[in-house]
Amino acid sequence: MRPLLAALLFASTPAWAGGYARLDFQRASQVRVGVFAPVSRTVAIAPVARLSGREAELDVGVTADIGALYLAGWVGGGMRFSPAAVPYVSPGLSFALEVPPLPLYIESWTELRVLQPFGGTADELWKQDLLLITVRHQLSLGGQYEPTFTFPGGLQTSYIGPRANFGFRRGDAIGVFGGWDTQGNGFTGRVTVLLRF
Amino acid sequence: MKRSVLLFGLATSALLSCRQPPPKNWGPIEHLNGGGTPDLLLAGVPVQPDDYQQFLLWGEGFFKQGAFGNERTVTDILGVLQGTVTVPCGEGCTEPKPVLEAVIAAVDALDGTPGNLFTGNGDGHTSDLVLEFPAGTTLHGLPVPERVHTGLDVEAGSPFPIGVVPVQAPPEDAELPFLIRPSATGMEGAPDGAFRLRMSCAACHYSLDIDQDGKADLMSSDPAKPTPGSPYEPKHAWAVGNQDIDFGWIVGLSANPLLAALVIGGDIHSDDRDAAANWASWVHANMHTNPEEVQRRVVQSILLQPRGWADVTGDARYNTIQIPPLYTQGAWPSNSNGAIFDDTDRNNTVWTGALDFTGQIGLCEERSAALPWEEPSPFHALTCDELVDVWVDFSPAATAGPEYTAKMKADILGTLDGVPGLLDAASVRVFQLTKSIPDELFQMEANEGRRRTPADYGPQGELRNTSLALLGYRLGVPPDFAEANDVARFAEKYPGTVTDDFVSDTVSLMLDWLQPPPNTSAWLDPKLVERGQEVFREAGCEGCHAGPYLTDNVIHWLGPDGRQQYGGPRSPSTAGWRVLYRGYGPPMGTEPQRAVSARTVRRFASAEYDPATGEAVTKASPINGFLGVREIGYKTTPLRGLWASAPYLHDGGVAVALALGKEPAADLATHLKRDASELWPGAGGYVAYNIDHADTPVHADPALSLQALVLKEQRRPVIIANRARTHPVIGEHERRSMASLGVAGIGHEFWVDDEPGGPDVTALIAFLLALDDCPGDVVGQPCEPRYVPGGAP
Repeated sequence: MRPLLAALLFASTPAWAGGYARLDFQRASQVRVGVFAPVSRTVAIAPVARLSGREAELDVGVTADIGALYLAGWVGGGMRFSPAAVPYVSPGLSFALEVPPLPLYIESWTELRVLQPFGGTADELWKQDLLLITVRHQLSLGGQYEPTFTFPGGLQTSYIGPRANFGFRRGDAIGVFGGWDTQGNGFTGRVTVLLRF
Repeated sequence: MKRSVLLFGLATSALLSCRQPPPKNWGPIEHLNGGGTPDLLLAGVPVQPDDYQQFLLWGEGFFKQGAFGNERTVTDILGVLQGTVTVPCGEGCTEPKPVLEAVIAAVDALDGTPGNLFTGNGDGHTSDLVLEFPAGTTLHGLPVPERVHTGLDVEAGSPFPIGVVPVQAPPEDAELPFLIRPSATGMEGAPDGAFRLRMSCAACHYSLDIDQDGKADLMSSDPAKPTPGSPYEPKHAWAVGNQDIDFGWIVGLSANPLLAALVIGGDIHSDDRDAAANWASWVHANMHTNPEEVQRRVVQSILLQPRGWADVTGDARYNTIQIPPLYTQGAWPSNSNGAIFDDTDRNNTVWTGALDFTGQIGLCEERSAALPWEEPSPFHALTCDELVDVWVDFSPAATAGPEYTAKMKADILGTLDGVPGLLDAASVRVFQLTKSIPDELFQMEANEGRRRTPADYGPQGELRNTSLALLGYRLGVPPDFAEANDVARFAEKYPGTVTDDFVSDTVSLMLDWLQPPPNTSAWLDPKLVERGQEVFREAGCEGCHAGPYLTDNVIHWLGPDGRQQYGGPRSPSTAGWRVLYRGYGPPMGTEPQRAVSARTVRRFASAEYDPATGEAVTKASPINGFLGVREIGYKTTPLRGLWASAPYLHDGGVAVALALGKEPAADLATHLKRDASELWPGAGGYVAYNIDHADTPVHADPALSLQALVLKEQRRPVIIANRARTHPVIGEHERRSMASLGVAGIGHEFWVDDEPGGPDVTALIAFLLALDDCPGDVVGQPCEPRYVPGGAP
C-alpha cells in the first residue's frame, strides 16, 4: 500500500482540478455535470449530478488513473419522478483502457439502480461497452454494445451498433451511436457531447 | 463481497505502483543564505574525505582524458580533423591539402612563435581554435571559409585541444598509413612514434571561456595552473559547457564524415521520418557509384549544425540541443528528455553511443527489434552489414588495405571479439537485454568473464534493466587501472557501490561536486536580488524549480496531443471523468523534437524513477512502458549557473543579443529597458550573422535572454526570428530556419506580469543571475552550506 499512501499523503499541488458537462441527446435526453477535487496527482473525488426527464441523481465517486487504465467508481442516490416518485441508490463503475500507440480504446460503464427497497418494482442494470479504433487524430470508429437488465425480469434491451467519437479542442468530444435492439425494440440513436471546463 | 473489495484494493494498490511517485516536498528554500556544498557520496554511498578527493581527481581525469579507447573510432573510422581540402595553387590549379596541417599550424601559432608546439608553445592558449585556409578552398566542392572557427579550446602548454587526446599506437599498428606522426612535423620536442587521437567528454563540456563572451578567461583547466588575474579558478572550466564548439566543421573536416551521416547529418530539405529513412538508404545505395556527390551532401547536411549546438541522436533528423553545463548535484534525470534518469547509465550511453558512434551498430535492422522503435527509422533502413559499409568503406582504415578494412568491420559488428563497436573490449561488459548483441556473439568464448546480468548491479540494476546497456554493452573498469589501483577494495570498503561501475561513478562524483562559477557582475545589488527571490516565489516558479537545486526532478509533459506523447493519436472520449495527463502540471509546450526522438527509450527501455531520490521504482521493460503511459517531455532544469549559460531552454532557442555596437548598461533595469531597435532577438538572428562574422561574433545576452523567457511580449520576436529562414545551407541558395533545426524557443509559457526593465522582472532576473556557486555572498552571507545534504532544508 506504500505507493497509494504516498500518492495520497505527499501530493504535489494538483493542477488539473476542473470538471465537465456531458449531454446525451436521445429518446430520454439527459445531462451530467461533474467536477474533480484532486487529492493527489492521480486520484480525485469526483461528484457528479445527473438530470433527465424522469430522474435526478447525485453521486460521489473516486477517479484514478493507473497507468493506461482509468477507473471511476461512484455511489449516490436519486429520485425517479415517473411513473411514480421512487427514490433509489445508484452505485456504478466505469473504466477506460488505452495503451498508446496501439490504436485501441476500450470503455465500459456499469450502473445499477436499486429501487426495490424503496418501493420500486424492479432494480435496473445498465451497461455500455465500447471498442474503438483510433483512426486518426480526433477520430475514433468502432462498435458499442449496450444492454439493460431488470431484476426481476432479466435482459430488457440489447442495443448493438456502430459508434464514432470526434474530438475537438483539448479533450472535448462528440460521440455518435446508432444501435439496433436485438430484443425487438428497433433502432435507437444517441449523440453525446462532452465539454470540459 | 469483502473478498471482492479486498481484491479491488490490492489490484488498485499494485497498479498504482506503476505511477511515478511525487517529488520531494522541500518546503520553502532560502537561496541567499550561503553557498552550495558537495555531498561526499560515491554512487549515493558516503565516502571518507581522502577517498573522495582521490575519486574526484580520477573522475576528472576520465572525463578529460577519456578512458575506454574510442581512439580507433575517432582516428581509424572518422579521422577527426584529418580530411583533405582542395586549395588553389595558381591559375586553374588546385591541390589537396591535409586539414591536420592547418590544425597543427593553428595551435602552434597561438603564441605567435612558430615551431615550439611541442616545447610548451609559449603558453599559447585559446577558447576558439581557428583554422586558416587560403581563399578559394573547397571541401567536397563546398566553399570553406578562410578562417574556420572550431570552438575547440587549447590549454597553455598543450599541443592538442582539450578533449582531443593523443594515444600511442601499439607496435602492431605502428605502420598503419593514417596514424599521426608528430615527429614528421620536424618540430623540436615532437614525440616519436605513431599516434591515434581519442576524443573525450571535455571537448564538448570544458571551456576556458567561463563567461561565454568569446574570450578565454583561463589559460588552463589544470588545478595546478591557476590563471593570474582571472576571477575564475581552473575548476570552473570543468563541464561549464563549450558553447561555441562547431561540430559541423569539426566533423565535416574529418576524413570520413559518413560516420556521422545518420547522427549529425540528414536530408537538408526535409525532416520527417520518411525522409530520414530515405536518406540512409540513399547514402548507402550511392556511396560507391557516386561517392563525391554522397560525400558532398553528407558534409553539407552536417554543416547545418549550428555552432554551439549538438545533435547526437542517430535518427538522421535535426533535433539539436544547446550544450548544457553539467551541474548535476541533486538533479535528475540525467538528460533533458528523461530517457536516461540514472547517471551511470547516462555516462554509459554517452561512452558507447556518442563518443563512439560505431556502438550504434546495436540499432541496425537485425539488432533493434526488441524495442518498439517507431517506423520508419533510418537505422532500420539498413542492415548491420550495410551500416558498417557506410561507416568504414571511405574511412582512413580502408586505406590500410582490404584485410584491415575487413578486420575493422568485423570488430564493429562484434564478430571479431564478441563486443560490438570499437571501444576497448577488455573494459566492456556484455548483456542480453535488448538483443543488441546477438546470441552467437554473446556466447563467444571471448566474452567469458564479460557477461553480466542486471542482478550484478544490485537491486537498482535489476529495476533499471534495459537502460543499463541500451546498446547491449556497458563499460566497466579498464583492467590496467583496476589492477594498478586495486579498485575492487572500494566495493568492499563502501558496500552498495559496484566495482564494474567504479569509473562511471567517479565521473558522476566529479560532476556532482562541481559548483557554478561566481558571477561578479556589478548588477547584483543585494536588495534587488533579495526582492528577486520574493518575485520568484510570488510568481510560482518554486512549483517546479523547487528545493536547493531549483528542480523538482520531474519530467513535465509536452502537451495533450497523443501524437507527440505516444507517436500516435489518442482516442477522443466522452467519458467525462477520464482526465488525460492529470497530475503532471502544466504542459511545457517547448520544442518537442528532442523528447520525441527519445520517446521509445523513455517509454520502453527506461525505468520509472522516484523524483525525490532519483532511484528506479519500476522495472524498465516494454510491457511496463505500454501500461505505464509515461509522460514525454522535459525535466525541470536546475537554474544554477544561468548567468554563464545563455541562451535558454533545452533547445537554446530563447536568445536575445545586443545589436551591433551596443554595450551593456551600467545598471540592470536600464539594460533591460532597451528599445527593440537595440536588440537582436532569437537565435535565428545572431547565429547566422556569426557564420559570416566569426571573428567578431555576437553572443546571447543572459539578462536580456532571461527577460524574453519570462515576459510574453519579449518572447514573441524571439520565436518569429527563430522561424525566419536565416540559417544558410552551404553550397545552396536555400536557407533554413533555426526552428526547423530544433531551435524554436517556444513553450515554457510561465509569464511575469511586468514590462521590460520593470521592478519585478528586473529583480527576478537579478536573482536568477545570482544563482552561482554562492548565491548568498551577494547579500553578504558566507559560503556555508544552505541546506543539509540529503536531508531536510
